[in-house]
Amino acid sequence: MGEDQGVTNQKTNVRFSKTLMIIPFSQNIMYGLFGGSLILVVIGIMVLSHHWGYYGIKGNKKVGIKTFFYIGIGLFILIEIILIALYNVL
Amino acid sequence: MIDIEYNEHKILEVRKHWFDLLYHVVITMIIGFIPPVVFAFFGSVPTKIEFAGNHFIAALFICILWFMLTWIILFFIWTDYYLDVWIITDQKIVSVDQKGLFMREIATLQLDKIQDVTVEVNGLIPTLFHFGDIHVQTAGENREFVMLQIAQPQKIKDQISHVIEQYNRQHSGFKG
Repeated sequence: MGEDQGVTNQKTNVRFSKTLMIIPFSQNIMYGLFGGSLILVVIGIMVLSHHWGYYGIKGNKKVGIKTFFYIGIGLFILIEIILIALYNVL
Repeated sequence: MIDIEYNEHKILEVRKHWFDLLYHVVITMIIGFIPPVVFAFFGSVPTKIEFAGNHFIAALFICILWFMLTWIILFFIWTDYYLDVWIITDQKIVSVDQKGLFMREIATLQLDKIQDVTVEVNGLIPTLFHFGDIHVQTAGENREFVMLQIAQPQKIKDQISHVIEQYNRQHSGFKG
């Protein structure tokens, strides 16, 4: 077993092993992932809203569940935005 | 939207037992916690996967992203559970079979067509948690309606039988 020499990223000064899988996880990738997931979230919200409104049973109240759902989504989006902003700061 | 006639009264709304919902929720949550477990594992042992930037923020970002998608899937599961329902009125039974989010089967069964109602509780967990299947046999089309994994099936069966009895009494009264 030979010793791994390793390589150093000149820009970030991070040292990697030769066999290392480098994930250049930049803010742009974060924006891309966030944008992609946001599209899925919007589709999900549209599907759920349609089902709740159109297929629901007349007179039934699902307000609590709806509010809970939207609060959760809002919180996740907010945390994601904060994390993207913090990525280059910290 | 499921509407009932103006002279019709909704007596019962029957859904699957909460165990069925819990089962799917637990499976989804296990899948939802895969990223934190993976990151915890790679964080605690020497690894060959590294992030070029802030590792913790990147890992947290991916976890939250995954949680957000899991959150939506959980509500898909709940919606599927919620919309899969049997509505028993004083005139008919409406069976709404929600198969996933994009397949829906609605069947209506008039109470006078019902021939027999049977209950089937099969297995240890259904016996312990009191849930099972209700089979409704119809007279006309020789078709069987099945409600799967219903809570307190015996109680529901009794209520359906009572409604049918009332319906038949009412309608025989009109004739006589």
